[in-house]
Amino acid sequence: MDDSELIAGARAGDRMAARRLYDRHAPRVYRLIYRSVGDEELAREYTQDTFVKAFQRLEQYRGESAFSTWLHSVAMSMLFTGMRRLKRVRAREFELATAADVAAPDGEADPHLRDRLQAELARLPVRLRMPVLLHDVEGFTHREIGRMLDIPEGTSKARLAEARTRLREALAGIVAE
Amino acid sequence: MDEQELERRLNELKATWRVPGDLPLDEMWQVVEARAFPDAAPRRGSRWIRTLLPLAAMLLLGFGIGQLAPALLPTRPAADLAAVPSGVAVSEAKDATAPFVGVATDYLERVTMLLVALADAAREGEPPEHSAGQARDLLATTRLLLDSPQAGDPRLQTLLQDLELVLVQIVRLPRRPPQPDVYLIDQTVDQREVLPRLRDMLAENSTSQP
Repeated sequence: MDDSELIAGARAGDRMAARRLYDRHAPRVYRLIYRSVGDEELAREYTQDTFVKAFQRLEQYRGESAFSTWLHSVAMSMLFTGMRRLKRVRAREFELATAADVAAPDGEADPHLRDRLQAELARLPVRLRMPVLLHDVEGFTHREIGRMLDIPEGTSKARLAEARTRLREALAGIVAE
Repeated sequence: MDEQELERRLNELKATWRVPGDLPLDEMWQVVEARAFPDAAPRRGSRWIRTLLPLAAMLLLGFGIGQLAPALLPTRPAADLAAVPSGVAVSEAKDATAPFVGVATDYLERVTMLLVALADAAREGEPPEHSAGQARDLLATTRLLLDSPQAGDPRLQTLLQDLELVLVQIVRLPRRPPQPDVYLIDQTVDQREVLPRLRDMLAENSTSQP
């Protein structure tokens, strides 16, 4: 069954159809969120939040884009909401030194370009990191990214260009060695 | 490094960067199903916990946090209350204080019971008997309150933020948590005087009931 049939079933209250939609899309949603936050437990929590919200608002999906695109836009919304909360919680956890840094560890000189690229990618601001993650790593088009992040397609391209410039500058020292 | 090289390196990250482990799809689906389709028969766990807490959150948002602690919050016109449930006249909100306070009191009592159990476990050096699902539900309710535009009172905000901090740590505990982790959470509760503040608020709720 394709997504449209499963969506129709889920809307009609077919729990099995909802479960199939979840099974089909959860791994990719989870992978995207996990790559964004770097924490398995948080990624599971946000993935669950995504599907809860998606099923509660399934009537809002009108088929103008692929279901996966719409679902990922819900995921991005839950992710950003969650990260704002996390920033608030983590600011208070810092006093007890219990927070684990979700960004790549810093400080150590790392001669391997790949490892350094990962670290620099994690350090990018979220608004720049997401287009890189979605386009260059996950393979979404700028049109899809625009829908997911609720930004114009041109803005997605511009942010990706800026992110790539920053990454090249950050890696220039290693490449030159 | 030119653009092509960078793009190639970024494409390679798909296979190497933050590759997630196995996903517990079934376990996660149970959570999704319980929250997205709350009228379903629960597969496990207490049904009344899963139905009562979302109801508590809805009532709290519907009647406004201002009904919870009128002595703490600035008075707001009834028309400003957010998300009043359909079918409930705004003028009825004030008359509905008693059941609303009862539901809110239930939430505060649950949080208190959970933290007291944790404190006892920390003191006795025993693993706490806690339900991760219950802690997660309480955390969800706490966050709904924090995001409510009515929860503007600084005292209430601070308490809810501290509860969020503590509940996040409890949710992250494994099934058999190491004693130092339990102790650390108990220290957080103690240092921030969470339990005395909760008891004060419960006492205020009981006196505000008609």
